[in-house]
Amino acid sequence: MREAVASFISSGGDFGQLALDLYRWQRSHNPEYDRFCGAILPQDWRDIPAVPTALFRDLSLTCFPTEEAGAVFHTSGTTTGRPGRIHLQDTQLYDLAARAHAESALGPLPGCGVSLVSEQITSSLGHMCRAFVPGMPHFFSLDTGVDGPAAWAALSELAAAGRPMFVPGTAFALADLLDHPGAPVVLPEGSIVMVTGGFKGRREVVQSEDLYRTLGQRLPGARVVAEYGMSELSSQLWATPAGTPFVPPPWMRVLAVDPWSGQPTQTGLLRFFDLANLHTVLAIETADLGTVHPDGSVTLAGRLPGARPRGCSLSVEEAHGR
Amino acid sequence: MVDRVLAGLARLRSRDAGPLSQGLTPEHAQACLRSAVDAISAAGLAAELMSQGQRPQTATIVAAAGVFTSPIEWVALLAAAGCEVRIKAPSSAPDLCAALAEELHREGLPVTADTQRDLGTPAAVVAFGSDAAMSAIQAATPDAVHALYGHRFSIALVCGDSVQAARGIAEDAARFDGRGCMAPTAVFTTGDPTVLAECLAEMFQEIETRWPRGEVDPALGPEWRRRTGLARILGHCHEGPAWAVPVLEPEHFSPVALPRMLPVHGLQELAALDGILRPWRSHLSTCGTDTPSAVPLGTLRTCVLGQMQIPAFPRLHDGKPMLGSILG
Repeated sequence: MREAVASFISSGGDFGQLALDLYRWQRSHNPEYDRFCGAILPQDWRDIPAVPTALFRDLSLTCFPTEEAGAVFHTSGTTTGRPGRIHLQDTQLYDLAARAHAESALGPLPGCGVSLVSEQITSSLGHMCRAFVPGMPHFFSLDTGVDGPAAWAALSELAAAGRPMFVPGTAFALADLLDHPGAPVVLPEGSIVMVTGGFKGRREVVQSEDLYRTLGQRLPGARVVAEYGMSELSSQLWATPAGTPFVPPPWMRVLAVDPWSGQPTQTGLLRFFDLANLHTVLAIETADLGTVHPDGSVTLAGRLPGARPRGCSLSVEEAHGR
Repeated sequence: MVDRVLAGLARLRSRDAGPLSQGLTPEHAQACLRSAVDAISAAGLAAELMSQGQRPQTATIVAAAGVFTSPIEWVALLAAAGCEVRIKAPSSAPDLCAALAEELHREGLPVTADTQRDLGTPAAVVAFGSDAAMSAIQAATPDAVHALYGHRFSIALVCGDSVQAARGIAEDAARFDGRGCMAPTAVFTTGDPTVLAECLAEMFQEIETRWPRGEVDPALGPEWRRRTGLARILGHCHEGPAWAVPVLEPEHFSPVALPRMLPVHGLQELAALDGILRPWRSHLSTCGTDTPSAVPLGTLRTCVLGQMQIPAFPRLHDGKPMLGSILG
């Protein structure tokens, strides 16, 4: 199955057929997912049962013994404060898929950069950025935030060298960077500033459009792009330029569903069908809302809001956010 | 005064409850409204009015969305006590409050309802909502006497016969579609959880024909699928079109009720229950049980199965006297 998925990533193929093949393979190798699916026998990739991301807080949902994991990524625990763990047997497919779609969307990746994402080994985002540009200096930590002066100095130094650079950062890290004063640094042609993630309660929210515009003003010369990904997915979506719809790779499909019924709709809860999720589950239901356009691209519409009050009872957020 | 209150409530009881109910099905809403009104009797009001102390002249009741009948007992009590009552209705669901005020006003009682956020300067405030909302209300009305009720959760506990217990528990879980702090979030049993789950599934199926489930909040969908999925993987799950009974180990207990979902957790020994509930103990409201001697630490109210969502009146509300808590 690994060869089939790798071949699809490299050369394309029949998505629907491979998705159903992978579904059957995962049911036979992933006992938890098999029990999750029960008697369902999908005839179409849209009918493949999608696992809510929250289930990764409770279960590993892997197609191999977890003690054989070569990488373990942690989810952010945005909603509940309790992270999930995503076990991968290795990162070969992850790396293949991530680079293939990034290069398709962005062109050749720069050979150097300045990182404003977590360097923790359990961060899938950190892993992806390290794989794109090995050895990047990094100026962000979850504990202390962005080291602004050092980051601006590094940007100036690399810019002076005239080499295109890759500047990945979460939205809140890049907003922190912009809070530090300084003259604009003109980045060499071919440079890419990558914005990903939201603010997750870490600071005052900056509107995306304002962030993109200000990044363009303070780091002129670079393309500002947006990335959408999560630990539960092995593939990412790219918006080039930032602010346009996110485009999934050919080996991924996105379905918007009604949050309660799970029935397909144009705008709703997003489900991702990612063939590169070989080691876990190819169909993932997120807590993100969005619109899926006829061409398969996606416009995000934020997180699914919390449930309405149900009298004097505890809410999901109150109970599990503690 | 008591007679006028009861006359107003009688007219409220005969109203079409569906539009007042915040999304319950009409037949279910009517049953809930009748239960809530029927609980309030002349004898009950008279007993509560014997509480000694200075009664507040004015009182504001801040109602929360969700359980549409929840303001009735407090409004009835304070109106019977001679208070001028203002109901601050939830802006998203003001209809029951408006109807209640209208019926009592027709009896000449000084009861009004609105959705204005400004609480003014009442002598007493009775409020329901999140802990944060309670803090804000207390800060906004520093001179008032307060009876504030934050968010709580409840459980059912079965130590005896599953078949006998199932009907009451299922009705407790179905009433108000599981809304409110007295709805069971889960049932713990020292017996065979599989047997209890089968009995509950049968009861849910039967209740669905009598009181069909109403509107559900789409935002609860992912949590519904998480729990049913978890149960299919780690235990098992009885599922109908509008209900579910997951069977899971107690470590997967959640103090959040979902509409017509009642997880069953088997207990190896009763003593384990205190540890399971410990993280949320300060929020535990009611334990409905067939074995009152076995209720866990921190339980504010113990009742028989089938009565969790229809508390007697008068009562201790979250362990405190009702009128007595706001007397000077």
